[in-house]
Amino acid sequence: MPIHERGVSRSDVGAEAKLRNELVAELKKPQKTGEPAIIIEHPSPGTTHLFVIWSSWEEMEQAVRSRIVLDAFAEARGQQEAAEVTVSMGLTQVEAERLGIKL
Amino acid sequence: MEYRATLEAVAETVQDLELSAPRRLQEAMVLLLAGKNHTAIYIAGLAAEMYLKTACFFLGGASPATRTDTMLSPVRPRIYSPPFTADFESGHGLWFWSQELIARRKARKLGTAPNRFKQICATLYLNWYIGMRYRPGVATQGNAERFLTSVEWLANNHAMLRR
Repeated sequence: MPIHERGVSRSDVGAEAKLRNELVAELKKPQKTGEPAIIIEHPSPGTTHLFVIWSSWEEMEQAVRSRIVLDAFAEARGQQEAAEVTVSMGLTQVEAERLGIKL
Repeated sequence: MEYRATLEAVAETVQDLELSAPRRLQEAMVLLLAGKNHTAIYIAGLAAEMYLKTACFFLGGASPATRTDTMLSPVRPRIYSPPFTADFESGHGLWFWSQELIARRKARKLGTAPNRFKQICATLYLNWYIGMRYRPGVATQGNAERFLTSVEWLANNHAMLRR
């Protein structure tokens, strides 16, 4: 069977794009309950830490999760705010608890 | 799984340092309140090292998930300007990293670092070195308070230093 892959880069197709789009939607219009849980911290002026707690991250490597979180944030909030991000982590509930990240 | 294996199961990234720096500084404050002045300085110095390194890494084009080994491998010990000779200290030297940061800002034609930063760097260098963990410690509360205040300045001005 032929393969039909479309998009301007690899990250625009498949599972990565699906998660990013869902995250962009959540950042723009947050749901009152359910996943993903998004934590945006400002530990010091001009610095932003992002944590997205989501079961959808299972079996996806941290570097990819981080890129998805950062890309989604840039799309939802703009490049200027994204430039302040120094931590962009995608974590499952268990990983978040181990890392001491609380809602 | 043993703890070391747990930590080493994933590669160290820039955001690991970003997240660790404020945690170490907070732990140093707890030690200061407990009267553990020497160890408070030592732990706060590790936070300072991470703040300086990550500022350098972001100026070098890193993103949060960039592996630190890829950012460290091109870094070489160099001799920087007086008053102190550069002390690389196996990659932990606070004077080295402060001067590396100034050099990177200059190379990118960013504004010169404020004089306060230079004073902070001097305080850091004069009160901390990686080998101090092998000393029993005679630091006063004043030593520790002054040092932690300097590291707090790095934390609060990190954004300004990295752009």
